[in-house]
Amino acid sequence: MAKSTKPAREWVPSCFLVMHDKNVSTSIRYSPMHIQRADVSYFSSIKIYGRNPVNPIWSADSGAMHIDDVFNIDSAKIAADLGVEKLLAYGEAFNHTPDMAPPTPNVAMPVHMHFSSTDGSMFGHLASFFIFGAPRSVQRGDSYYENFPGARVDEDHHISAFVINPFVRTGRFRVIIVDAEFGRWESPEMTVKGKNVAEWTSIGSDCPRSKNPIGIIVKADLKTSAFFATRAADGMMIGLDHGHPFLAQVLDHQ
Amino acid sequence: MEKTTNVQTGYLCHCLRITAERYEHMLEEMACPNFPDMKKEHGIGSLCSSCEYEAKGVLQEYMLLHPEKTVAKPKRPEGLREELGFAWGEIKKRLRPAKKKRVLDHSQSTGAKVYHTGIFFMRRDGLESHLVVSNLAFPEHPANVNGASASFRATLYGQDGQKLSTSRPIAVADNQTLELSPSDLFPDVKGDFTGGLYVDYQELTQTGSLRPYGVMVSTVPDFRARCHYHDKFGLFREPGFFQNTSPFEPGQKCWMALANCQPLQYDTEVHAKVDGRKFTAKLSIPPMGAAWLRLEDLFPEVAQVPAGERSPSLLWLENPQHVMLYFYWFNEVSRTWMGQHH
Repeated sequence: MAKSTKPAREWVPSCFLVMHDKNVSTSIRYSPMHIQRADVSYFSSIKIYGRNPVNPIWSADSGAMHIDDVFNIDSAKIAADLGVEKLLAYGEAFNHTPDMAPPTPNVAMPVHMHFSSTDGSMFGHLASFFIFGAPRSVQRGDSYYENFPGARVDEDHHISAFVINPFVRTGRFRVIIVDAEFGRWESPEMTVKGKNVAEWTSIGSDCPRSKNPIGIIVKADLKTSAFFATRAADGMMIGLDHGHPFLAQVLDHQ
Repeated sequence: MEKTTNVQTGYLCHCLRITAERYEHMLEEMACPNFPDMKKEHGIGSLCSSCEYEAKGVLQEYMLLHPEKTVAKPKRPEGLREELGFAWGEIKKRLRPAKKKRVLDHSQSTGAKVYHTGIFFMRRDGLESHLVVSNLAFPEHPANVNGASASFRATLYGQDGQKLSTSRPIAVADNQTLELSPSDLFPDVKGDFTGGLYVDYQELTQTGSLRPYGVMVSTVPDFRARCHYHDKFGLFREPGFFQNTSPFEPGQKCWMALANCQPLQYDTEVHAKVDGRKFTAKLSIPPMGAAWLRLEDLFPEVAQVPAGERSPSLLWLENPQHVMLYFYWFNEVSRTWMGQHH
């Protein structure tokens, strides 16, 4: 008689970017409202990494949380504790409850990062990214790919791609721009260190400008996550969202 | 001397000198790969454990591509005849050519399907939703699996759930990206609207890069927006409550954008916990209806809480019936918008 050896579901961590300087701040927030169970206790463990991808440089634990609590960490607190004025750092959030296994294949409870700034250079709201555990059939080959549609690179718009590497090895990535008219452009290969974040921006790049909306692809040798910022010509951020992998199936949301 | 780690060497597991390629080979060799057995049999992740996330990630991805390996093989048979048959079967398996590493290429697959999805869509208050879709060939495929073009129709429903219009068939060519305004899609729809947009692709082989996004753009010079937000269509019940951990940030006004994508009324209590106080409002959205609400208008009592005490706070919707829900924030200083789903 065949038996399933599929391991029981377990809560897993997710990853994020924290930015901080004299103008920019990040609020990192976790609420157990992600789950409907009010009868269990929840815990959040936040780790921030620096140059060493094996040991975090800062960490905090929430203690037991009720379903309507919010565990809040502001980047100003992290920067002050570390004695630095600027942060562009990789973070991990392990949100879990020891009282129950994940009820669905979505095994990570995310944090949300709320980016604010006094000069308008950073403004966005994103959930943390799966490191592993996302139940999707992703099309891949020798590399991993994520895409983002409808980007604008012209006299009024710049685009940035942030690439997050949740693993300890250094990864390599390229940004590819695709347009039906001008074809395909590839950036030089760049690296993203282990448990770190790298940014590519169209400013100063020789990527083509186009009157058309363009498709952007991030090609990476590790399973990184990418998100994309749109800034106006004066540097104001007017959009921030994550990309999607190429999906090997036809999605059925029924 | 500093100890070398897999950071420098590029090994997936430095401690045991296991490369990514060797790890994939180990997965191929195991009948039912799982992390505890991998750890027990090969030691991976058992020493410094820094490779654990990548090892688990690669393992999970491998299992998605090899669902047949989630079930254990039948027990080894008893009896000489059965044992010989079993051994011959194992030999034949070993003689089979190895599958090409990691590549799952659907470019030759058939069985085209309909892909139905949706996003919130509106035109009002100096803001306008655009629909964006990219039809990008997977970079390692010889051709776009969806052919020379993919085509869809878009249907717009209004605030009260009435169908407002259906677009003409729209083709997005291989490697093309389209950005379509309400006027492009529905020239017959005049004036402001708040609603849901439903996209029906015909005969797709893969979703690939065709998941639609909305882009909220500004149509007046008073402020600027180019906020991407993606499709959230679904007919299921949520495992958790819709929530927002930044509903009342200083210097920012937050709006809730909701499109009810189901032919069922959506009635819910909306709660806000601000500075330890709980506020409740009621919200009813008709089947296929939509709403664009400023949270301060939904919770006027929050104005009684001192401005400096309103963050962090929490907002949640109690009804887990799936709806397409997004939040938008307006920064009063930079006069810019941003948006995100929850």
